[in-house]
Amino acid sequence: MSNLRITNKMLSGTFLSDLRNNLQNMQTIQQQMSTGVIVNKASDDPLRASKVMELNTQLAQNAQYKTNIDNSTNWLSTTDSSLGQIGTVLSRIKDLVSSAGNASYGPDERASNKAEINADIGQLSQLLNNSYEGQYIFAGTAGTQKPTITKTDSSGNVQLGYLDSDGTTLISDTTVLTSAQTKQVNKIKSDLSVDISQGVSLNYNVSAASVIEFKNSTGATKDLRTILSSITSDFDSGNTDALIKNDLNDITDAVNNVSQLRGKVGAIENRMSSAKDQNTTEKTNLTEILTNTDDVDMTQATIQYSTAQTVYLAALQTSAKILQPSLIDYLR
Amino acid sequence: MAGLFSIFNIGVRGLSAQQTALNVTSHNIANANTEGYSRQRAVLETTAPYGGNGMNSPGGAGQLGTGVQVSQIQRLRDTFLDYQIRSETSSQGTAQATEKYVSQIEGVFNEPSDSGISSLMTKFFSSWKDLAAQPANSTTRTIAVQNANTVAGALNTAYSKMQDIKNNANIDVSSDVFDINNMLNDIDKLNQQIKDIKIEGNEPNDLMDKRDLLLDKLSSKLGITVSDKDFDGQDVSPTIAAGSGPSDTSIIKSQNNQDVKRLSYISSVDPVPGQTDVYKVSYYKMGNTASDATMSSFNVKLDAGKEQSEINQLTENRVLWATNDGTAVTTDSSGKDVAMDSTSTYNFSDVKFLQSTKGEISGYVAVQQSIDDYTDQLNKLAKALALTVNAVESGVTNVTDNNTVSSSPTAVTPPNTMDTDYMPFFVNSAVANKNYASDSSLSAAGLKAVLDAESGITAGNISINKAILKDGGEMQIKTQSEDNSVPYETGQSTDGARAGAVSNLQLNIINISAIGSTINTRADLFNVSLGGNNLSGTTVSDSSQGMTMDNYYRDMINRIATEENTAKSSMVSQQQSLDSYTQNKESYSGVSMDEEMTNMIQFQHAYQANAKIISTIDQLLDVVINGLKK
Repeated sequence: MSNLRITNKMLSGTFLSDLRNNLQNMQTIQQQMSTGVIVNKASDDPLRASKVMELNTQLAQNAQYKTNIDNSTNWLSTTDSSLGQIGTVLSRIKDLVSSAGNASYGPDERASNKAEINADIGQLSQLLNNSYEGQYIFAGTAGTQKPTITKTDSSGNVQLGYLDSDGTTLISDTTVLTSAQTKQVNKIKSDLSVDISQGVSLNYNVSAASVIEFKNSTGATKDLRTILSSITSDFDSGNTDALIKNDLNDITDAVNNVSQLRGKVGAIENRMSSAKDQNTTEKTNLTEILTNTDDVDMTQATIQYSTAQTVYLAALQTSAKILQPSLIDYLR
Repeated sequence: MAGLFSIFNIGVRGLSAQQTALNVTSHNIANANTEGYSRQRAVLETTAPYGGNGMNSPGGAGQLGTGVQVSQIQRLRDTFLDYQIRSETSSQGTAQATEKYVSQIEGVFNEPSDSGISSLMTKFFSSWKDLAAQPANSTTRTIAVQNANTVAGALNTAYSKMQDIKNNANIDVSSDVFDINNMLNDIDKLNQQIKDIKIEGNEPNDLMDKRDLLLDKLSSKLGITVSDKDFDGQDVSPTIAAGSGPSDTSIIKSQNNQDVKRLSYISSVDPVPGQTDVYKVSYYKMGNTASDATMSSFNVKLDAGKEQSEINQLTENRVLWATNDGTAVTTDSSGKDVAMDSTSTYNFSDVKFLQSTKGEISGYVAVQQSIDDYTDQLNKLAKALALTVNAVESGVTNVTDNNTVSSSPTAVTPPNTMDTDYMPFFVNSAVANKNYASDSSLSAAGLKAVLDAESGITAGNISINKAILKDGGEMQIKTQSEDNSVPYETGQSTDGARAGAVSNLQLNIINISAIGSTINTRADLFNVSLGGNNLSGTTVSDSSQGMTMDNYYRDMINRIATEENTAKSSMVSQQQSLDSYTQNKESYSGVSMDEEMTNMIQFQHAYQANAKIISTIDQLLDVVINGLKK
């Protein structure tokens, strides 16, 4: 039953509810424009909000992986340069050993070579004790303590060995290991791994044990500590034959081992570098998706706002013209 | 014969009729903006015509008219529109009540945001990744502890805010109950007055307007059904779920107006000591919470196996059917409604809740159920976080079955695991706070109590073990692979594998929704046959069902957001619907100024014309009386 009878209250009621809608629209657009995002409360658009939350979480995780990658890259480059220097020192020792075959070398020259070799052994230990950000890079999971130590024995020769957990005992190649010492050595030998992306972890450390205990090209097990003590004692005894045959081969194996280790480190560094690239790409992609999902298109919003404003003003103007006059104005 | 005096009378009748009509017009104009006013109209009809008397009947041409009278002052109101409007108002009340509180719930979490729980959890897990890379560094440890503290604090805050919102909803219910009862009393008075006036033969137009206005206001709070009775009296009863409520649900009656029901408000539900499953329900009569003098109570025995859901129903839906004076009412076996007395123990099915299907009250009740659901989900999330982190950090997955807590524990040989967790990371603060020593440590008995209370961890009581939180306590965090074989953290190395496993919990699939039903303790959560995860060494395998903690939380937020979105659009569309019906009503019953002005002119002219008749007759009478004989 539509009466078509229009009362004043109806006119003002319509005006008020339409005004409310207009202002509501304008407020929404205004909020979007001033914050720059579409979703200010989750209820504005639940599906979009859920996506935004997920993207934010993924971006945060991505940033964490980047930190991990950056840290391990620095660690790896420190390892790389340390191994380089270790290789140089071992080559120097090798040269000194091979020079022992020089027939013109007398006991004085040999003594001075031996002294230099002892100094080099000391430097080896120092290099193996290199640290990065407070952790000893060749010490595996025992990184709060230096992995190696040197001791000068009665005949003035420097002996290289692992450092026991008590901080003073030298674990040489001939020490019978107690269970605590076995534990310490295992710790030095263990791997450190880092997560470079979801579900992908990489071992990034080189242990002092890989430098000291290794297998040569024929598969024979070698121990650097044995090699070095054998070199110094052969120098002492003047056993030139052993020096230029066995010791020279052994020290050459040691140098080759270090080169191999360096090669491995290089490969891991490459891996890290590509992981970093992937990480950056992923971040760019996620950021782009986030922008597309949540950012306000300023041009569109501005147009919408000015349309809404026009509608609002028009509503105000026409309503003013309709609401005001009444018959009362015209009666005598 | 009719004579000049009878014409005089016609004039006088005309004057008074037009005057009455002007009165009605002026009443309309004065009340043009009165809320709930329906315009009135003086219905004019001719008075009984003069058909002549017996003896000297003139037998002239037809009956002679004798003037006009106001037969009734008609009230223009369409009762069908009223019915429609009340129905829409009730729905609008429900939508508004729901939206009011769901938007508050959304405000508690305030997602998406950098300071929301989602970001805080991500930061927490990230800091464990940093810890895994540098486990010996006290800075990374402190940061991990601080981030954990922040997450626990955020969960605590969210929980207590939800409880506040629920309390506010309860307060709204109680004030609505009080308002409804008052309105019902007012409506009842008007109802009786209207009947009295109608019986006298008059039209109680303004009183009916008042009654209709009150009924409209009532319908916003409570969905009602109105039926008309004799003499414009009305009976009112609420629209409720079928089968609920007492046998007679009338809240206003036209006859026997004292034999009606009212509403009362449950203030608390407390267990009765010494009896199992018996609770004392205390309620305020008529919802009058002003003083305890209006309190009454009764005991109720809950059904076995349904205790929690029945307690929830008691605390969510707090409105009881009551007799006219506010005493709670139940229906006995013969179908008669009797008052519940405070000494008897009733069955749960005897308790008559107001289960209204529309109106603000039904909105407030439904929203409380939502709040309970969301609080439950938040609790599950907190418990999942606490149990998984505790288990992986310590390496111990079972701390409740047959574990003895030794007062001087010793390490075991790896890969064996310790018998129990001697430094739990997350604890139940409700129990832990009673057991800390002055240096924040826990004795063996205290630790056992704390570990047993682990299955009671909720978002409201999750907290960090104070022994870890205190200065230097961060060194207690276990980060090494073999830390599951020691009772306390001893010495640090650069082995952060355990910390790495904790940080990867963020990506593990965990059977979170089963927590609270089939999964209750740490042991349950790591029991593969119950759908849990498996912990071996520092590797956590995914559960066969469930989701990650991030996804679970996001799911919850999504639900809240969707509910709020629905409530908002519901409210908007209800408002539009109501607006359109209101426009229709206005069109029929509203006062139009222009129309009243036109009528006023009409009646004014008619009045003037009638006055002219009188003065003309006066002149004629003058001729007759004074002019015929000098």
